[in-house]
Amino acid sequence: MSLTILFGLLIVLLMLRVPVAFSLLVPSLVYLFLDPTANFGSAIQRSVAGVNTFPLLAVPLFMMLGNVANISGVTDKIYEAATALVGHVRGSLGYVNVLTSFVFAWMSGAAIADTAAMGRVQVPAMIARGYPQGFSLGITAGSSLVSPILPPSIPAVIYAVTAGVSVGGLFLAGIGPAILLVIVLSISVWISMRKREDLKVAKASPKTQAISLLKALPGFGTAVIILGGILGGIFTPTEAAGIAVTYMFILTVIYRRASLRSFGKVFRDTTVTAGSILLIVTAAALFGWILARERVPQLAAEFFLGITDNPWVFLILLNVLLLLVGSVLEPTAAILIIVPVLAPVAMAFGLDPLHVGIVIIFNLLMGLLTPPVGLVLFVLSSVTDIPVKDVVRGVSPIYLPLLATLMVLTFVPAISTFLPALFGLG
Amino acid sequence: MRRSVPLRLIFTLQRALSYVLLLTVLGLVLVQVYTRYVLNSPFTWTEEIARFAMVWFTFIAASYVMAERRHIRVIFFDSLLGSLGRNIVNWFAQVVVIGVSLVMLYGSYLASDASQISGTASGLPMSFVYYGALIGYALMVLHAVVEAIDTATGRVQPSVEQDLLSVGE
Repeated sequence: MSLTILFGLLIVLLMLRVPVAFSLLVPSLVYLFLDPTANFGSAIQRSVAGVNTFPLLAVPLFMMLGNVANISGVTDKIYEAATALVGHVRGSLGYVNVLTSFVFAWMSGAAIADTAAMGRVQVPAMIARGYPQGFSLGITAGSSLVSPILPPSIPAVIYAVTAGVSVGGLFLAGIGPAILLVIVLSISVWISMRKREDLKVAKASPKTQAISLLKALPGFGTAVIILGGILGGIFTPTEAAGIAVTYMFILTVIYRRASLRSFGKVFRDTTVTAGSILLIVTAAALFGWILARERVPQLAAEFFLGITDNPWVFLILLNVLLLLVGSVLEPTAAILIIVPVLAPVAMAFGLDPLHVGIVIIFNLLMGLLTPPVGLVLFVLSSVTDIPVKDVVRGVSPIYLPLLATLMVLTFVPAISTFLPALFGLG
Repeated sequence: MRRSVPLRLIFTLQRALSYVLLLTVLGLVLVQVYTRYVLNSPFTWTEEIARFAMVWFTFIAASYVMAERRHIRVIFFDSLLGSLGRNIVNWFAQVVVIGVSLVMLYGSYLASDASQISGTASGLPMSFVYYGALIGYALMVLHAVVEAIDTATGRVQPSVEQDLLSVGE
């Protein structure tokens, strides 16, 4: 079957509201039907084998971690500590917003859970204090992207498993870019708020600062577990996920937020998000096997090498392509579809797989903030009761710093590759 | 949404089974760490059973997502269609889902039939793993048919807003 039909069918089905998993299965099944040499039963075995891997166990576990962290009440403690520390600065709640996301990101690997938790509390608080609505929405949306970049990161686990790179290595590669994003967002806060003398609160006493910091300290436990596990080689990311989830459950009990209802919500949310992603993993495993069988990665490499032999030009093309894909497709689903083709192409250009991984992930994540299907926008609208079109208008100024971050990440590989290389995971 | 008693029962069972499988995955990962560091002799089967539990979880949870009608899809062109157009597109998507699930159901049967041998560390036959897919796809057929009937009889209007918010990440 010609490749045009294979991909054409996929795109048409996607546009016709067919769920992503099934849009991938249709062309795969048609291919198997038309190819007499393909064994149908063993093809299904390949599809199931897609989720029969130990590193991928980290996906449901890290999703669960984010969901438990959300009900644990640890966010409030982090928020209070951040306010006590930087509250006296002009435009302080902007920095608090970014800082809270940065700490929370060690417990969460997805942007959506983050947006829901932060948006519900921080946006109304900022507006009540006199911050412009658009600024409040924009900084919340921008800082929600820290979660899926900083470890633990769901897109990183999916990317690593799909592209065959180390999960731990890609986790480490995300730390530098996440810090860069935090710095860029803080600069944005400074530029917007530097003249707002009115937007600050009285300086907290050193005692208050110390107490609130102490209260927030248990929140750093997951960072210790995950980083310690990877850097010390003590346990795999999957095992770190299991331990971190257990730790966070215990913390929830200590914070007196444990209830049958809240735990039920954790399991339900995890089942829904993990179930939808993992089914796509099985479909993509079959589709990817067919692409490999048809030598699509090699053909794609030849195609790109025919356009240019300059890796930087390739990266620019990659960025444009990914921004388009990311604007219509959910990031993890997009990774599962395009990485089997594009990761080998990037290798052909001699690019570092971890660097390319970070560029691809960051790029697709930006799609969460852009219409027409920017999920973060819709979640923000739903938790704040602000109409979607106002959210879009409020968030749009944040595209500039995000694009700047993307450019730096693209053209300065060392930000991503420095840490993995330092710890021998590059 | 009101559903009949047998459907509600299946729905509850799917949810319960998903939760149990999720807990199994978590429990086995912890057991693996415990046996390696505390007992100094890791069991050989924990990793394998944890993986098998995730395979089962994948398909049972996916069928639960199907029942909740929350599978990830592209909703880009929805705003361009009228309500009739949306209905037609929805119908088409539903037929595709049912057809694919049926084929995958048959495929899972072939896969399980072809792997009766055990040959695994835990002694479980590989066919057991494919039963998860088999049951999952059977349930997906069921829920997709129910949704198709609901759409046809006008009990459920495919709504744009709801879809936008329900896509999970």
